[in-house]
Amino acid sequence: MNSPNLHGSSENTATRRSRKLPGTQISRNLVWVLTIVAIGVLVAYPVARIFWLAVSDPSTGVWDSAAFQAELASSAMWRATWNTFIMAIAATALGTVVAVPMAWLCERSDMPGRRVITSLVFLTFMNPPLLLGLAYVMIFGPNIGLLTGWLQALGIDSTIYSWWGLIFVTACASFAIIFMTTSSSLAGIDGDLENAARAHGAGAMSLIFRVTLPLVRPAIASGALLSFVLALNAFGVQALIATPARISLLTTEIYSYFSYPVQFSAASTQAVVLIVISIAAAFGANLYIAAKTYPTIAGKGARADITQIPRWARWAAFLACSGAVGLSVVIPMSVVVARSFVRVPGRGFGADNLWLGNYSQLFKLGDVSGALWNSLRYGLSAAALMVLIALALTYFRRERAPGSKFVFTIAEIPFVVPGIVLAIGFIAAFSRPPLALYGTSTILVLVYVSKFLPIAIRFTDNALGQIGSELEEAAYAHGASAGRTFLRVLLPLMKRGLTTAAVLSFIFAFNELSASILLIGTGTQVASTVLLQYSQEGLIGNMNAFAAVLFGITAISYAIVIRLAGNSVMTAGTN
Amino acid sequence: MVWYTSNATPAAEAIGSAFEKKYPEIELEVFQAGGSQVIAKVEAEAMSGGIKADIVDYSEGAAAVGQAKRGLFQRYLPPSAGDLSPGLVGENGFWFSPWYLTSTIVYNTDRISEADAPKSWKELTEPKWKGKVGMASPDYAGTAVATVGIWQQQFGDDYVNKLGANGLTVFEGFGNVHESVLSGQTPVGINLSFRALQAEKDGEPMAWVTPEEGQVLLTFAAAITKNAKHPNAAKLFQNFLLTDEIQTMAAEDIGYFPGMSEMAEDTGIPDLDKIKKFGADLDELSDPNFIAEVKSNFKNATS
Repeated sequence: MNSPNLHGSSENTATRRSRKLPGTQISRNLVWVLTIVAIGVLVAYPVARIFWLAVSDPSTGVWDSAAFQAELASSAMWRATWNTFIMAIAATALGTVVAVPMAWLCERSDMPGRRVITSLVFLTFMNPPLLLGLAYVMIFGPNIGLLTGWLQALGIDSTIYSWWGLIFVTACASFAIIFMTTSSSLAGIDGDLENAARAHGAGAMSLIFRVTLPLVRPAIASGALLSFVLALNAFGVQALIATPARISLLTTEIYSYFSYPVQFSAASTQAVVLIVISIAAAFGANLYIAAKTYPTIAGKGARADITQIPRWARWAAFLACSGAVGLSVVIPMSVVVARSFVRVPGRGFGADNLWLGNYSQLFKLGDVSGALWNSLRYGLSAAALMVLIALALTYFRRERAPGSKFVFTIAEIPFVVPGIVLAIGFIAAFSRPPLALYGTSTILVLVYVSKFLPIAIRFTDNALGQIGSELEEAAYAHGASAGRTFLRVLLPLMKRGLTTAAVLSFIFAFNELSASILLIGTGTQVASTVLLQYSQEGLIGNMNAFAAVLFGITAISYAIVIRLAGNSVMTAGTN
Repeated sequence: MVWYTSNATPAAEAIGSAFEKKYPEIELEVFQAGGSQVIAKVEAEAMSGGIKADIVDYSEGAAAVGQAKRGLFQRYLPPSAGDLSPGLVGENGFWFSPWYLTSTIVYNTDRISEADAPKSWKELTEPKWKGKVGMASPDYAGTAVATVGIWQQQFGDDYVNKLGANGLTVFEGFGNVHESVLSGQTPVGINLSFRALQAEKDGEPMAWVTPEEGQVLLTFAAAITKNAKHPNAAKLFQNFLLTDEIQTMAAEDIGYFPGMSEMAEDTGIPDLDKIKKFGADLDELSDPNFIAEVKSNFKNATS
């Protein structure tokens, strides 16, 4: 597949236009400037504070690179870096191998139950990874794990506290993102391309491997990159599993600098190492994506056909997909729900050990409903901002606005900065006038936007990348302004990508934990910090009860989104 | 008035609502989190725009010693602080500890009989307990830093090495240890006294032992910040912590050992005087270099 110009018509990016109304030009430039300012304030400034912290003395604020040098010379730090890298690669590879075929089966085949599978994959996202980890400790933990005996019967003398446990749980928590990017791209493929291949006699397999797969490769790469970065930075799971497994990782090392004696410089230095690794990964992935992205929506494309697969294969595929969602969401959530009714953990599920007390206590323990409401508000505000900024960024990069590539790269950074370090950057950046936002709820919204913007960008980018520029050119040729073209041509074509971006941004913001820990103040607790609090204090019954409530709420909101936006938004094509 | 506390949720809420009830005209805002998070938040604020809290309150006293030396607090002791047990008042009166905790050995009574339970700290390094003991990581839990630091002072480096070699399971926090002991994942744990007392009260199958060498005595620290915006309300709050009402409540409802010496007898929790214990050399424990070394030894021993 070396002929990128599938339609033989034009460049991927829109050609420059000279005849423009001056007014449009000005307002367009204004939007671009505002976007740059937003990235500067939300991303560049706090990140710069983190870099500065790495090479200065936090108490005096003057240059002092002793901690920086000591950290870089520490073999323990490099061992943790290596472990982290291997773990993230392995989890991403596992996730890709599972997610890509699943996405194709759910999106493009007649496999039974594909709607349900898609919905369940979505639900894995709504599950805080910490819960997944806790559930698997119950299943494969030492001494009492429900299924640890099976492992031993198979001759596996290890528990979830091991390398495989860490990689398995990390992959469970991150494979869904690869599924999402891939299936969203599969849905956007122009059916004409595949029809042409069929007309030329391509068989089912060669169609998949020579036409479909190459078309979605950029989306797979971008999902894999997100999954890699999520895996680098999944503190909740790592503290829960890697600590007892005695595997040192960068995130757990970084967090260890936040207990007494607090060492901000050392923590920031390690964050800088993480930033460098992930920028290198993102750079590679972006080069690949840019080289392989072909516009596939060119005017009136046909909706791609559903492939009929043989009967036996349909059911085999269904079983395999069920296994994947079973492991990643159904089984762990069932454990959480079952345990939310248990009075004393470790005494089994007998009738005398079951009660509803965990739920009734929930509402006596602090402001649970307030925290829920906060999470909801902050999550929605953050999602709206993220989609707007992501849309602007991808649009202006497509338009080759000055500096857009650079701004785009900068915007990727906070995603990989461990939340607690990002929080320190935000506290340092926003504690003094004129930007004294620390202590308000605004700072939480801003940190969510900063951290998860790359998620929204992936989806707006995929959505816009699939739209051929000839549609815009046609609009311009008919005298439409840039704004009108954007609103009437591009935006409707991106509907699905934008909705997915908004929903995912919301979910990530809703579940964000590690930056929230330090940025919440009085009255701004969020659901995730309440959950952590319960876990840290050993209020496991209450934690499971709260998690079950959260899960119920998110599942219901998911159903509402599907209902309002129509099934087509999540599970079917663009048209 | 703003109060940053690392008291456990139920404790923070009980104390907070009792204060609001007594002083309805004072609006109390509470930020409550694990010890390390509260300390990190205070340090980050001190570095940036100034500490937002009027009162900070840690479950790990040592951190306050260093912060007091760096001038983050103002000097204030409640009038009744003279009745606090010795060792609970910080140097120059910058902070005090309203109560005590201990850290000790706990076990699951469903799985281990009293006769079989560990008898000493040293015993935890024996093959009998291989892979059966859990504790919280000093990287996350402030009280674990103090515990490991005091072990180092009492037993030397070698103790954590032996514990590590005997398959000590290290968890993120004491809550995880509590859960792990109850569920039987690690039927023995090293945990805080108030959790064990609470578990016993709730009918959970957990009991503590007083090791032959003694329980590890831990102190808190409550202090008013240097630039507190509501210093008078903060002083009322500090006084309030030492009233009979709150000392009794902390003992009965939460399981803290009361700091006021005359309270010890009638609160229904074990008399601390009768428990064998050993405490810290707080000066050394507040030395960042010593603690960094302790944490790094512990990490090496358990990885």
